[in-house]
Amino acid sequence: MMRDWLYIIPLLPLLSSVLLLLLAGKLKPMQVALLGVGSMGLAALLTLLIGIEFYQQGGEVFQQAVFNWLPIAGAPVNFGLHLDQLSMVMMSVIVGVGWLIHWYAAAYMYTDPQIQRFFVYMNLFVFAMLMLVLGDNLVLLFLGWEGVGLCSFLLIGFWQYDAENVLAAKKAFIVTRVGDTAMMIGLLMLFSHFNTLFIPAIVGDPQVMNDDQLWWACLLLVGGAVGKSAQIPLQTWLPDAMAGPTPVSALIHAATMVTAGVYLIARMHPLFLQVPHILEIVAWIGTLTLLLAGFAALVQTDIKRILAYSTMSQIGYMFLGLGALAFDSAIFHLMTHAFFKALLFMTAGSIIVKLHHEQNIFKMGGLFKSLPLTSSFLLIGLLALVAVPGTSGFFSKEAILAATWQAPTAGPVLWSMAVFGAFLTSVYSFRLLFIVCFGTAHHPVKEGDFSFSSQYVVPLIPLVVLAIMGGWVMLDFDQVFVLGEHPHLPLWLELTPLVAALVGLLIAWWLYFPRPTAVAKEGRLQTFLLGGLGFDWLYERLLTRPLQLIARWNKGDVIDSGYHFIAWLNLSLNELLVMSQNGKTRWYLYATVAGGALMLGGLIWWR
Amino acid sequence: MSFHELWLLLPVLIISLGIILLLLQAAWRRQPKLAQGICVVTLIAAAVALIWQFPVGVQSITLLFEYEPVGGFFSILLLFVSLSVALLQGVYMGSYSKMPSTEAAEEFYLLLLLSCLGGMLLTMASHVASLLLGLELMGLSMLAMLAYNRERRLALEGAIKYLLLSGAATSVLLLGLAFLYATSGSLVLSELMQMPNGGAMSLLAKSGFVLVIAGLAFKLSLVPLHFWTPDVYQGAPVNSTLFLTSLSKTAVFAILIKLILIIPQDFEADLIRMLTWMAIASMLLGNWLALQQQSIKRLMAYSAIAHMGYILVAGIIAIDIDHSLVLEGASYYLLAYLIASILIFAVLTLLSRFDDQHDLDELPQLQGLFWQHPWLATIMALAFLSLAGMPITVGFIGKFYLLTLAIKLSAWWLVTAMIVGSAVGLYYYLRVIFALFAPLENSTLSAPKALVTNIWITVVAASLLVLGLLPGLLGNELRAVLGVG
Repeated sequence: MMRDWLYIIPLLPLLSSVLLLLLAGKLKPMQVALLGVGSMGLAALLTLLIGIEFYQQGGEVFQQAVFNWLPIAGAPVNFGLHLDQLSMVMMSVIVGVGWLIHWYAAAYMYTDPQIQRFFVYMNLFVFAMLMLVLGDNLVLLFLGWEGVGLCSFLLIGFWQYDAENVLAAKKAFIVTRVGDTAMMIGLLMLFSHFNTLFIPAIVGDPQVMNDDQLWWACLLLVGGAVGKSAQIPLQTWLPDAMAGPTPVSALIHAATMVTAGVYLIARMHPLFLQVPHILEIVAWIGTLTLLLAGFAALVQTDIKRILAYSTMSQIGYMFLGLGALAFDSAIFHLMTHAFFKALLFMTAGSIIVKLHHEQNIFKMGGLFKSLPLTSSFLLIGLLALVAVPGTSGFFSKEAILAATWQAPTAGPVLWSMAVFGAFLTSVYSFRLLFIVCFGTAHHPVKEGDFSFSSQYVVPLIPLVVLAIMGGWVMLDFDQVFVLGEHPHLPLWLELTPLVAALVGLLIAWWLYFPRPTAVAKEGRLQTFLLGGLGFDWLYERLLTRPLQLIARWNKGDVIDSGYHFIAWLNLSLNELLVMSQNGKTRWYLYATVAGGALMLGGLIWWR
Repeated sequence: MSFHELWLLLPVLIISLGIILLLLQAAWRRQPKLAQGICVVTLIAAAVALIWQFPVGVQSITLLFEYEPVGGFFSILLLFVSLSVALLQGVYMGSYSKMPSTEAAEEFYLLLLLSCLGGMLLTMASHVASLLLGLELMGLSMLAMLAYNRERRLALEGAIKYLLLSGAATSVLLLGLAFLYATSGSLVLSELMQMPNGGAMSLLAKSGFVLVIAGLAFKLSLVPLHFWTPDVYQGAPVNSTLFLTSLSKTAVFAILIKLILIIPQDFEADLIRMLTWMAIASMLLGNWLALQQQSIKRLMAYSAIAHMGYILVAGIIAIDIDHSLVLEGASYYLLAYLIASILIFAVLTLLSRFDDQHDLDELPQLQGLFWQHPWLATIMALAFLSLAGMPITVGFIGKFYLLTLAIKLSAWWLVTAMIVGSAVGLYYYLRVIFALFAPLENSTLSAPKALVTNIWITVVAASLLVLGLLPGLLGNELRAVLGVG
């Protein structure tokens, strides 16, 4: 059976990562690329084979116990993998899209002297991400969760000589840490009631906890999801995370890690179904985030930040889908989004490289003439993002919107807000397209076009195909989610989002297309939106400054003085006791005999 | 003695055969490499024999010995440390050829096998005579090993101290045994504390047992009988120090736990109180004494005092509750301690020369070791982290076992002392690690190339991590093996 090889898939990137680490400084860039990308290629092949077998058998759940890890009596934690329709899709996205991004990254980072360290982190990331989605217990899931967080931190600050990158990495780490802490408390709550962290045992019998406790546990889990997936109120780290190399943004901050929150909620959905109020909150979080990110994306000038806000808003749609009980559609959108957003980031990366590391869209322009192929890839990615009928994004977004209209936990209000979000998406997408690809060129382009044979282009071709056709894949989740009939809505409801997108296109055309000298306007509103609607400002006032104040106050180590006393006490005790070890045999002999006598005396004394 | 009993004694017999071979070889042709080879092969053969016919229940072999799983497991540990010492000795002796030919290197292996034999007999002892026989065979051979380099003044001084003090301790032990014999009238260990006509233990018998404990506590360097430890550790050649800190502690702990598991009900409360205080004092004093120590060997001596305190906790709990689980915890802790000790002393041994006046010992000499010998420094750092009980090392699992057991027993004084002791211990373990990774200043240390020894050390280091990451691997085995204990 192919599927018995399942554990090999996470093992491959781990081995490659360890090997690259051990051979630090001994390999040529080509060997590094072959190892780093090759291990992913093998994993992708294996995933394909296992996937074929898996779906031939009707998506039957497969559990693999790799080894007994912590034999704690009563609640053993074992290293086991759980393959069902949900983790199969996640694994395919991680390994498949991840492989293409690795391939692209090999070209992108080829001249970087630190390419070996880069692939150590990238492969380690894939391993951690696979642990997150394949682990059959919440301990493994949490380990993967922290592992991807660590790799994200390391990769955002990969070019550590620039202080700004390091600050961005720190910010991402600290902000997600808030969510992680909430999640950990949630996990411990679950553990204290279920006395196990084995996922099937928990989701199989959520009635163990009463609704009140479950409400809190689920809220804490949502806290973790919100932090990892950059949703309100923990969304501020994602735009800054674009400081990392572009393939990192494509892999971690678009296709895989940031969707871990969606996976978590989908995985634990039976708990959430017990307390539907939480799902209402999830839906609202998603909707507010998608609007906020849409507004912020309207005015950004950095091409990667636009894409980052767009990622945030698309994950908002996924959260809305989760909140509207359409778990399958949320995961479907997760998959299609991984296709087209990875494509978008990598084309953006190509453009940035071509323009001598220029990221400001207003300094680009006219790229359809100089970079026709890359620009058409960008166009395809954006069409999928806007959900033009026929592209992959259309099917998934349509499914989420349809579910929202009817769901008891969502409803028409959220639906109309989400449609407005679709309008915003359309405006900022076409704004990006018109400014970058049309008009006059503002920037010299490096020699040589990216032709079909370029390593910058080949890995994108499968993604182009998937961005267009990926929506025709019919994902089947009948073994994981219990779902009702898919809703059939009146035609006008289905057409409204399309109309909204069309209006968005027209507005973008009117505002941005014909102006060769378009520049960013510097109004108050623009500044407000540019900064992500003031959340950074708010947190700075609310949290950072007070904490810094306390730190300043404690600079003289006020709290430490207590510890200084302890240290002093210990060292004094040491000096006192060492006197007993004076090297004199006579004293040792007396002391030893006295020790024996002391024991005897103790016995008689206490009798 | 039946043939079956002889068969059960096979591991011991193999060691004895090795001893005879070594004696003959020394008479026939002096050749250190050959002696080392015989020694290593003997130890491996004994280990194979022991594992192959590992005891499943208690079987007595004459009146003197018994063959049972706990002792069997401890014997494996003894063979494991002896093997490590034997492998290291060849590298350590390296250029010993400068010495006059009559003072050659072979006798070390002979002494090592004799001492190991003594230890194994001790773990199997079921009679006062065999207990003393094993103890003295082990102790006297070890004494010669401690003074093996007669050119070193400190080594001689340490050995003399050990001789005098352990003589005193043994006489205390004998006195205690005499008291017990006087009241019970039997020299078989299991009947030693049964009063005639089944009455309660008299004060004389209790005093006798306390004196026996005192005699053994001396060997384990438990407070308040720990005074000899640092001087002897520091004086001895570093490889002999390793032998002292691993083999004798393991064997003596094996017999100690056997003794305290057979005490009668009415003595339990008294004994638990006494041992608790000894454990607390050992954990705290040992760690406090080590705080500002500059000599690694002295530091390890103090650390040994503290760690013996931790292991004693397992003994205390064993008196109170379920034996098998406690034995599992104690075995795991002891194994962790042995692995870490072997690694630390192995690195010191590799960097020292037997014919120098001093071993590499002072902390400043180790400064920046990482930048010269990254692999050795990494191993040493791992070992110290394990001693400190850091997660992912085997030391963490050992501490975790003991702490869980102590909490289960609600022995809050012990728990407090364990936690305080660990915190204090971290200070000086980390100090060594800091020194290892500090910028290199002047000293250049050379390590000889020794393939087999290096492979062995690497395997031991790997086991430190593997057992730390996958405690189930050994835990299940131990449970199965000791389940009957």
